[in-house]
Amino acid sequence: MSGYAGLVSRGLAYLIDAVAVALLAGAGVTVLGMVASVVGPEARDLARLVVSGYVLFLPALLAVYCALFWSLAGRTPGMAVVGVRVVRTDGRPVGWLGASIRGVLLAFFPIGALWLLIDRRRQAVHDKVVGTYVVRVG
Amino acid sequence: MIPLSRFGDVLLGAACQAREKSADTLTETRTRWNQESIRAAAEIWGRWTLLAERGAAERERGRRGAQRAVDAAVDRMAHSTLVDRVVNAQLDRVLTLLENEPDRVRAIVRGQSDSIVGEAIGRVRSGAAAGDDVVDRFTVRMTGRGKNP
Repeated sequence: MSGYAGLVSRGLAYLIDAVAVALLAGAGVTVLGMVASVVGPEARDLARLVVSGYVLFLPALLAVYCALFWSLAGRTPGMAVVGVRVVRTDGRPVGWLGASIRGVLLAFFPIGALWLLIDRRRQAVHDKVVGTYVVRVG
Repeated sequence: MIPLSRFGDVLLGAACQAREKSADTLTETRTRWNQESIRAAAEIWGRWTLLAERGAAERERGRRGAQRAVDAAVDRMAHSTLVDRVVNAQLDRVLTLLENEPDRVRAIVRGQSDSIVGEAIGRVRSGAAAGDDVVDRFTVRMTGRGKNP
């Protein structure tokens, strides 16, 4: 551990993860649309519902993606590229519950991340709520 | 008849005339010698220049001849059947080695690609860390808070 990660590192990691999730969601929607065009009107209605709820669906997917990677590996692929990791304030890895809350807060309230600009330990709002730091690795 | 008392003047006059004559002769001799020596030096310099030019021309001709000879020898050797056989034998051996040991080849290729990816990731990380420092300095200046621990 060699210090807390700042806005640029975390923003870059978030951008990488957001692009990955968007690509994933786009691929999923495309497949769903193709299936719906073959199956019939019911599936087409479902596909239209999913696409119309894209604004809600995409952050939810990002929250699940982040929570999954944080609880399993302590970092998302974007964070791995930038070389940062999420740990609890006592230094232990973040758990399932903490990762889920953190993911939902980050996905639906991303503006709260700007709190790290004025925090001494560069903790954002979701870090303060769950009790985590984002630290630089190596 | 010259009186004996003026005999000394005669001797002095003779001595002065002899000095003047000898000075004139010496000057004339020196002038002639200088002109001849300059002419001789110019001739020698001209001969040396001619010799140097000829030497340079011969040296350049020899170098070109040697280069042509080497090129011809290399060309003959490269197209000789013996070299063709050696190259074919080595090529077969290398292809057999690559065919029998794909893991080794794969490891080499993977090592190269890993090093390229690692270098790119290192650049991204160092750039992000530098950006963090810049933002941190800016926010410290704006908010007036102390340096982060």
